[in-house]
Amino acid sequence: MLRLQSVRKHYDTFDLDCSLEVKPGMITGFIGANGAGKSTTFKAILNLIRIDGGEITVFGKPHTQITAKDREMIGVVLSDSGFSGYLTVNDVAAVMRQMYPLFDRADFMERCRQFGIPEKKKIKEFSTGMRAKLKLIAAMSHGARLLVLDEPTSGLDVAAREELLALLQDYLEEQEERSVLISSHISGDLEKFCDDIYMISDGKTILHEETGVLLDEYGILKVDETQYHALDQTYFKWRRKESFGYSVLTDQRSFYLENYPDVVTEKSGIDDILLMAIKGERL
Amino acid sequence: MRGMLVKDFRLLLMQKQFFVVIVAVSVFMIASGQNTSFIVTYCTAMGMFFSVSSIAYDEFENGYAFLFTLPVSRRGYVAEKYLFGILCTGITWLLSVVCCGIYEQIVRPASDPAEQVLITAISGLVLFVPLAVMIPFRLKFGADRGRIVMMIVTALLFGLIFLVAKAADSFPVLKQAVRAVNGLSGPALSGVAFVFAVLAMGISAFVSIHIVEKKQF
Repeated sequence: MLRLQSVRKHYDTFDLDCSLEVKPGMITGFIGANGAGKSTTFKAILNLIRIDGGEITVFGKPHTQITAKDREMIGVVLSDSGFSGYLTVNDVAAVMRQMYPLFDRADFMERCRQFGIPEKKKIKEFSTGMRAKLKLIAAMSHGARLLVLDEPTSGLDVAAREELLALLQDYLEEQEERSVLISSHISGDLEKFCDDIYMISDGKTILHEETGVLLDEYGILKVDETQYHALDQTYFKWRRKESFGYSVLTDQRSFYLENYPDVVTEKSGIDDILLMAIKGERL
Repeated sequence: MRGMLVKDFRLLLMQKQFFVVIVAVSVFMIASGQNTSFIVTYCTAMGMFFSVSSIAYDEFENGYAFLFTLPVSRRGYVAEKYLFGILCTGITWLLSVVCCGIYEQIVRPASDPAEQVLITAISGLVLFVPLAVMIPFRLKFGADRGRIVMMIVTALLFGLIFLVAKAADSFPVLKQAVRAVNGLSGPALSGVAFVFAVLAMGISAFVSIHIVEKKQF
């Protein structure tokens, strides 16, 4: 569905070098700290910036050859851009009806009502949350096969996030081959929602794993200096110096639980893994 | 393309109070005895400015990035801007010609309507030249910088016209060319204006496509 192979983009203070793949029917999460290169990657995929190297294919075609017709099958949410703030929801519906043959106006308006989005108010007068809801509802309103969502839940409260993610889940279940690439700084959203997750730091993909594996198999060992050297280090992935010794990220938590019952071994969430990958040292 | 046109016309309708002001100013000018061809030029110029302002709306709050994820190619976007510009300029020109024509026939029934239409047609066509200049500058430099650059370009153009006019005295060829244009009949002059407008728009569209295809968001 979507593939990036060694995509490079050079800026004066930042270099992107990213590879990732979104397979048909998969929900792929893309996580990283602010400035890690998530939005640059999204812009590269959408051909909004020119890449300096590597290859991006969308629906099997080089991304530079994606036609307007192909774009009808892509739903997009950008964190820092959207429909003109001077338009209303009614205007957006009128525009989308002309642009997307599969646009379902009745469903779109119903969703807007459901999420309390006013029809006649200018978008620039919307709250951040309302704008975020409108962007996501619009992206799901025209039967897109691929959703490219950059921080779609940013600015939403917990309840609205839950509701919208449920809506997104329903949308994906309607047709099996629909795929999503989604970034979020709220790791909880991605943990519950994604089939696999890519982590990016300082412009580079540092980790790719199925979400289930990340949550079930990865763990953090908290060890002092002596324990650290005594442990089998085969499954160490990252380590971080602490006042007590080291925190170590492993992708074989059960191995250490079984063989080193005296060592403090904790389950790790995506945030812990990301923090370790950013602040720690790769082994 | 149609979706983009709908968007631009909806944004245009949002500014309907300005159209009321334009009509009021036009009525005031007619009442104060202003020439109707001047009013046609004024209204058409306003229509042109409104069409170009749609670029500023697209640019607002980094809107370009999202626009180019919609099913519209960069060439399609540029084509739409020109079509929208031609429609806005053309519609305001036509409406003002009709209104002023009716007024002329009421106030000066003896005047030749064909001659009036010809004069206003030429003034309308001539306005496609500034449209052709403004669109690429707006696309390249954005609303704020574009305005400053346009002022500089306008000053340079006037300077150039002044120099050509001065040089015409020294160069007989230029003098003959000016005399030839002045001597053209109404239909021939509107033909020249039409060709000139088409050429200007064509070159401008070519430059605009190049600008937009190079842009990164």
